[in-house]
Amino acid sequence: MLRSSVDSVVVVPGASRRSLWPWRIERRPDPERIGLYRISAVLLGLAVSLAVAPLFTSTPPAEFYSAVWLGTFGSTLGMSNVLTIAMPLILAGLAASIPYRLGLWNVGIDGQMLMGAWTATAVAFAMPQAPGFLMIPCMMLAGMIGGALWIIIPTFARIVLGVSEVITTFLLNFVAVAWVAYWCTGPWYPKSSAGGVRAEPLPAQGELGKLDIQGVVVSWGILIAIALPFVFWAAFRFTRWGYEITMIGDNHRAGRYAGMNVRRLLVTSMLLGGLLAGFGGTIYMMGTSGQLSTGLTNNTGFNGLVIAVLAGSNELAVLALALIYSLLLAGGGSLGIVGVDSDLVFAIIGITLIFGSFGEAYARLRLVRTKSSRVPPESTTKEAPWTINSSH
Amino acid sequence: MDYQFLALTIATAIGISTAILLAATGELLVEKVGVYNIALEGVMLVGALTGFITGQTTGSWVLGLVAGGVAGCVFALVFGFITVLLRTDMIVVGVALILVALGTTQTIGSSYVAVAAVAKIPNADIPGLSSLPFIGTALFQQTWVTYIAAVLPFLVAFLLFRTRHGLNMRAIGENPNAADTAGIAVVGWRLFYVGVGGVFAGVGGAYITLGIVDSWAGNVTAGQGWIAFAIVFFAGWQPLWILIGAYFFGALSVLGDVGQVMGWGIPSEAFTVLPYVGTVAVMMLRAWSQKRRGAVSWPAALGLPFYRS
Repeated sequence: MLRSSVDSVVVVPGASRRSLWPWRIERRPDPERIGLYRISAVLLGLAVSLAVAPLFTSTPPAEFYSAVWLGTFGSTLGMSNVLTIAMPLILAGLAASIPYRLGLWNVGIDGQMLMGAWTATAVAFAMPQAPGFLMIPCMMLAGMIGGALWIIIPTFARIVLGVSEVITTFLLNFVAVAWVAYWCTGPWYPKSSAGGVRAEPLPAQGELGKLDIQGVVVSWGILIAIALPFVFWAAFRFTRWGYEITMIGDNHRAGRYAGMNVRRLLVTSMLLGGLLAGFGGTIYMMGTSGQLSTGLTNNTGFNGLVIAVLAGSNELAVLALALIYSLLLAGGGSLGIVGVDSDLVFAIIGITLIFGSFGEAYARLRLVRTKSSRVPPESTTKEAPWTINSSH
Repeated sequence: MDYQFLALTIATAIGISTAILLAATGELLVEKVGVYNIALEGVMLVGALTGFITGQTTGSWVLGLVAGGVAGCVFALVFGFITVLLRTDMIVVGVALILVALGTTQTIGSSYVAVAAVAKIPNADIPGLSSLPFIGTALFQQTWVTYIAAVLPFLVAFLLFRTRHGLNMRAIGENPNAADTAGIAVVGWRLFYVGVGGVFAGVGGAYITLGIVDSWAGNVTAGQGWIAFAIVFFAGWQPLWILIGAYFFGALSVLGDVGQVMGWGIPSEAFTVLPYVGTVAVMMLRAWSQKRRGAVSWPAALGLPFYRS
């Protein structure tokens, strides 16, 4: 049992409670259809925030929405953008979703993506003459290893020492950014600099080829990104590992009683999260700019976390939400043309997410009118003081 | 390095730590009652923009700081309302509110980018002390906000460990059910301190735009809210360690620049990284020693929603 720093607190019982507010929020005894409420609330939030968004700008609504349309479904360039953005987002969503199934938060996806991309770049620079069919798999493998390595310390701290992974995974993001900045400004300083903290471009054969589907151009990495959610969806249904993770959820004690090696499951799910993030960063770099930069991820990790939470342990929902999310991001990006800061889309996403929280709260909680003020005082005993034991 | 330069370096380190120190002190109060406001970065951003706009329109830095504090309080209470009252997940809501703050401040503040602050916070030399050799330059030629921020952790320590109310606060954070049974309004005080923490972070944000960088830019806080959040962990929920932690972070970020000027040959990123690596290392070391002693330093109910049982 952990002992708290306040060992024993002597508390004198207070007078009978005065109620300022004759209502009380309590848990519903049988919450049902939480996912349904959440998704409905999210859709409502999306509609509301999209409707309100133009009011925050000086752009006429018609121009606002036509810019969003052209940036997404309205043009082949827009669709190319959507799919390009979706590629790392799907992987970031999976990278957050798989640890989240066990109640673990991977808040360090941005860092893992950068470190994956860094490792892949290092491998590419180590074998600059290698042909593409050798270099590309090596880079992808390196990216996975780099991402997984970046989550090892938080995993160890969480599982062996009990340090919250929220703060450790997150802080390592800053370390990864600084590390990449050092390599971009030092050893890998580009011969022709074009603004931003960027490294020397990758060898040409290390870039992913482009698919051209009737004018929609996107690197073939998107095929892997779209396939992976199906792979994990199947893995969680048809493998023992997936079955155990699904059964345990965030109730680790139940798993231990059932004789499962919970520690091993926690480690594999965290490492898999890092691995997927590293892979996502790598294929995004190989499929777009073709060079390492500190701005590579641009909050993709946070967005992946949002997607994972909304998707609620369903890999196919991760895929669907990542695609919707990419539509938003691409549409938001195109707002720059009409003079609106593209970061407005972050506010839209944030408000949508808060609506989702409201929906979930509505499904879980209810408002109960407290009984009239003639309730007798809860405790009339005077033999207290009693002791607070924080061993719950 | 001559003494004058060293004194100015220390003065700069203390000055730029002010915003982080304020936000971290407020966050400590919030965490002591069992809530972590992970949206600290967003609260600071909102305070930074509100403070700056108020400063530009009224020409008064005092009003700017007040407005920053009020805006921070309101924004933090949104977080408090959703997490404390509606018992939703603090991480999700925190991330959502950071995104909201980032998006709205960028959009609203776009016409204030690259405008110099009218109401810059002036330095207030303390008579007598400021003319001392070395120490005067290093410590006593700061702004009023910096002096107050340096005193606040001591006041918070007194509140937490020497008053009846502080005892109640710790009880709320350690065992809300017992506190509730004892007649302490758990939800009410949690909301109250989330608001107080918002005031601190909002003022801290306004100090960035009015006292440190003297202008507004998108994402001007640049992770300072996260650093403040980390410092609370680094400090092991001890108010005086918050003071040390904040100045340590400030000193490291100044050392990076000093190293470049002096040509030490150490990449400035090495200094940038140290606080983060240091926090992770300190947390792991502390957890390791506590595991052996069987005690934890964080409030036992930190991050857990309270249901009356």
